[in-house]
Amino acid sequence: MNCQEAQLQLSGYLEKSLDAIRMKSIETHLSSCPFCRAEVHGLSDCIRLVSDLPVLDPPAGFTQRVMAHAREIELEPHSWQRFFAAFKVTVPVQAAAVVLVSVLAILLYQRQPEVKNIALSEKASPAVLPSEVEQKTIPAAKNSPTIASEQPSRARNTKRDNNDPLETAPHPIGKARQQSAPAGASIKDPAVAAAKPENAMDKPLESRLAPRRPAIQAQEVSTASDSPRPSADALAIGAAIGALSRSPLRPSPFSAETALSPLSEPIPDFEFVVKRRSSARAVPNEALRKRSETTPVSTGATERSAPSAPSGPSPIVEIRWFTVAPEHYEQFRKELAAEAIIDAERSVAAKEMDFGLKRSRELLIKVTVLPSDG
Amino acid sequence: MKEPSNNSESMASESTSDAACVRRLQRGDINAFEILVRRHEKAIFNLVYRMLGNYDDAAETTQEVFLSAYRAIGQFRGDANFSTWLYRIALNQATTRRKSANLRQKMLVSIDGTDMVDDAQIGPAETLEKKELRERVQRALNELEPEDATVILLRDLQDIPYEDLAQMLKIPVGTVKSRLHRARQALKARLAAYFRAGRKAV
Repeated sequence: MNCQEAQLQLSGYLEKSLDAIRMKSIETHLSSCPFCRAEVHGLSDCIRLVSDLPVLDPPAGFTQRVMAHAREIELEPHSWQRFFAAFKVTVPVQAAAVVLVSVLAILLYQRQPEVKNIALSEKASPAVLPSEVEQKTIPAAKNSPTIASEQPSRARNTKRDNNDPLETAPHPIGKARQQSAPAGASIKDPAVAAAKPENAMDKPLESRLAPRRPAIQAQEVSTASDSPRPSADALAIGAAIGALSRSPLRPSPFSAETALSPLSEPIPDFEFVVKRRSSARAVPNEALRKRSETTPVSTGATERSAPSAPSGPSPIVEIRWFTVAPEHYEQFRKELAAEAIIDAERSVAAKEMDFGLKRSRELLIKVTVLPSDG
Repeated sequence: MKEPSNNSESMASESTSDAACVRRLQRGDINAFEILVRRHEKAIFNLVYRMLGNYDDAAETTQEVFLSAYRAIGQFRGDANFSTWLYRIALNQATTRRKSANLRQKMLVSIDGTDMVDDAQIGPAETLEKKELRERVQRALNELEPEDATVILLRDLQDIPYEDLAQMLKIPVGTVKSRLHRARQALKARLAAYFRAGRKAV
């Protein structure tokens, strides 16, 4: 046996894990080879040094600490996880969440007839009116098929656009449709249907249509109507509130919210369900209709508008949105109560009523207008 | 049924063997895990400590080894012994830890002999010379390739049979033997350098 062969088996020799013949031949070689003897000594020193290393105890309380952590770990998979694991199907939490949210959204959507109605009517009528004060009275579904989803953004873009003297959608089928809140104002207050000089500079549209600047001009956007109707039939709260105003020169604290699609409907701070007072809609209808018929169709932006539907009073659930400065909320509510019968109201987002200090933004108010009982 | 967890080692009966504890644990009996921790913590801790050369890191890593085992116990199929499986986790974690730059720094610091924690558990009869020798061995282990240190510690410190080593390292027994021989030679070379340096210093 040469040194090379011996070297490879020295470890085995030291551990006595070689068979008897090999052990013997290594011993023979070592007795004659001082180099390999030195190697064996070195290796056995190494083995001894490592095996002599003291065995330490883990830190005190090690077991308890491990167990405390282990108890925090939820170990056993739930039965449904085992079920999926059996089929090697992984269900990421995100995917499950997406499905859950989708199902909830569909359920909510189906449960709320008014939301559904909004969707239907918006699909049918794409009227997007670039006016702060637009009031879109949307005819029923059968009229003009267009893309409803364009509405919110376009309407929002044009929210403060006062350049157009008057936005009125073209009405292919006869009956006029009211398109702006000031026009709505004229429903209640036909007597003041003259231009309002105070605001003529910055609000030409309003000045033309709204005779007096309402102190609390609740400008509105009607986003829902479930049947063809003349818009004059709508609850003309803006006009009503305007008529009640005592300080004509005050800037409008209530500004109209833009058209809202059901999918992008924001969460209002307050929600009202009101009933029209049966007396509140008699006379103004005629005035409005006349005004609307004579209204010039103005800009390109208004051309994509809602064709009118056959007129005639019918029970309508209507949703209107208002933005009201917090300090004017009480006044708004008072005037709303004067105009319509408040069936129900609730504060959705606001937790306290002293928003005068705590809230800087305007309040978003949703008013669901039910047909009058009478 | 309650298991006295402390005397499990003395009465490694049918219900407290590793395999039985694993089965109980897989059914959700956390007390069985405590038996397993108490039974194996010392061996695992010492292996990890010698691989890392730092007491606190070893404690932390050992804890993580047991918690990893706990989390993964559902995947343990019983193909190997529980201890083999546990060692495999420990080797992986210790190797990863050892390779981290942070620890490399600490290992360099401990070469100065300031970070060796043996003292507390060493009797007063221990001579300074023996202590120095142990420190040298530890430093040499720190400097070895992780797989060399691993095989030396498993075989020479923990006395694990070749067959189990082969299973643990997932290599044939013959390969274990040749790797061990190579690792011992590397350690011997390291220690020889220290010894020479020591002799010169003296």
